[in-house]
Amino acid sequence: MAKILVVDDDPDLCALVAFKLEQAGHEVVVEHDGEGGLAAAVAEVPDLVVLDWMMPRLTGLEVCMAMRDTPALARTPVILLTANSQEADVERGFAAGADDYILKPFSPRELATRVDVVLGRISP
Amino acid sequence: MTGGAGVLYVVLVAMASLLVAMCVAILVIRGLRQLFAARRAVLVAEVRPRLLASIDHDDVAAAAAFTGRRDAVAQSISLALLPKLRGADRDALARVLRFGGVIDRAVAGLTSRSAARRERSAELLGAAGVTAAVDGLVARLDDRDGGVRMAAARALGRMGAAAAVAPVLAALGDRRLPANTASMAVLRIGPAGAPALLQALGDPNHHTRAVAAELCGSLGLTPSVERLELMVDDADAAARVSAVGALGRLGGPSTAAVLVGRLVLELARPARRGDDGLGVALATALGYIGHPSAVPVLTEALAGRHRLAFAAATSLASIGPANPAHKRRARPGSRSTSSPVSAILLGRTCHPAAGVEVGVEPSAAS
Repeated sequence: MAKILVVDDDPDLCALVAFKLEQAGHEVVVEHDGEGGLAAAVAEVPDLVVLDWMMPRLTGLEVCMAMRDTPALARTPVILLTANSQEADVERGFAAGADDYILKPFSPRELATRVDVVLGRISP
Repeated sequence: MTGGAGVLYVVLVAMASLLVAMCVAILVIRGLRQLFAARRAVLVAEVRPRLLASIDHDDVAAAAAFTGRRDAVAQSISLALLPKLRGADRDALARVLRFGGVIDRAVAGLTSRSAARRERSAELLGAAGVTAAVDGLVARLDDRDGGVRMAAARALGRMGAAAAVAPVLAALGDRRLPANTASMAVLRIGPAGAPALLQALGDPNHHTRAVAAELCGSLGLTPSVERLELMVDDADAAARVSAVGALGRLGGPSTAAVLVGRLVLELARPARRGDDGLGVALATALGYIGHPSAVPVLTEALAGRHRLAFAAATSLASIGPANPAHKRRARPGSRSTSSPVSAILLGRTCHPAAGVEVGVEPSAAS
């Protein structure tokens, strides 16, 4: 079981993602804006973060970059979950330090699988 | 108290009363809003987990068991989630909405008198992938409201409705749809729309021909190459450029020969300011195809105007250093090292705006 932080300003989407991840046996913490997400990441030190890109206060990209600048979170896997589908957006996402990039509309089952794959990569 | 002062007093009292009444009304409205929001939050907290569980287990009956306000909340959550999902969960959500009668209401809503409702219905049907609504959505491409037409095109694209490609392209030709909306719809439908796209390459409307050519290139429809080669001589300039661009993505050696021949003709024309679009497209396409037979004409194009020279230089660089023309021009220290091709081959930043020696416009040279 891993601790996963889900940050998205859409409460219904957050609830769905949290539901799927909890079904998969993970502990889920939810935040609805970038600032709260970053604060939760620092406080909770999750095993993985699922981040929306377009959010109030801080964007997902800014949160991701801030995490990479924080020693305790520098290696925490980040999955960007976003509607930004341009090639340049994907490049920016990975350049900011994301480990995976999922486009909306998305399949929650695929997200849960990818979470497991990314967690599997980092587990000893 | 005089009569005038009395009237003033009454007016002031009335205004103060009005102000107080307005403040009270604002407070009441705010309070009611907060109350409704709190009650909705309680309902959402109760309904959402049950709805998500029913979607997860594909238990339509459980999702449909909501009644009254709980049913309204469940439907609003479902409608909010639907456009953001794909795959099995989206299908399960669509089944929930169908079971609750929402899909049937949306189908009926396509012919509503309200444009906003027609638009919402089209978006919902597209998000839910209701293929039975294709005909109704195609009919909405003729809607008097532009927002409804675009919503219908988006919905048809999202559903991958191959039957919609021809009507979407027709709507584009008549300017009932903007090019980006129509293009995105056809791109989402994908290669399944190839027959209609090939047909559209011969459409009497030049706008349709141009966009169809571009889409053939974007979708990698190689069966379109022969028709696109004919379009290189299309009567419409935009259609010619689109066809050449598509051929750059799709063409092989035989296409390179066609484009080389057309570029030779283009270079022989007297240069006029602002009409080098086809030449640039030809030079660029030849670079994408990458056939060495293009090297002589591209080398000749280096003497053209800025944009053409730059496109030719870039293409020569991408074709590769195997030809002698490159090596001769790329030699450091030679007079020609300031040409775009030399700059690219030598790894220097090169842009027409930076000012290169070749291709100086006649007006600037004089």
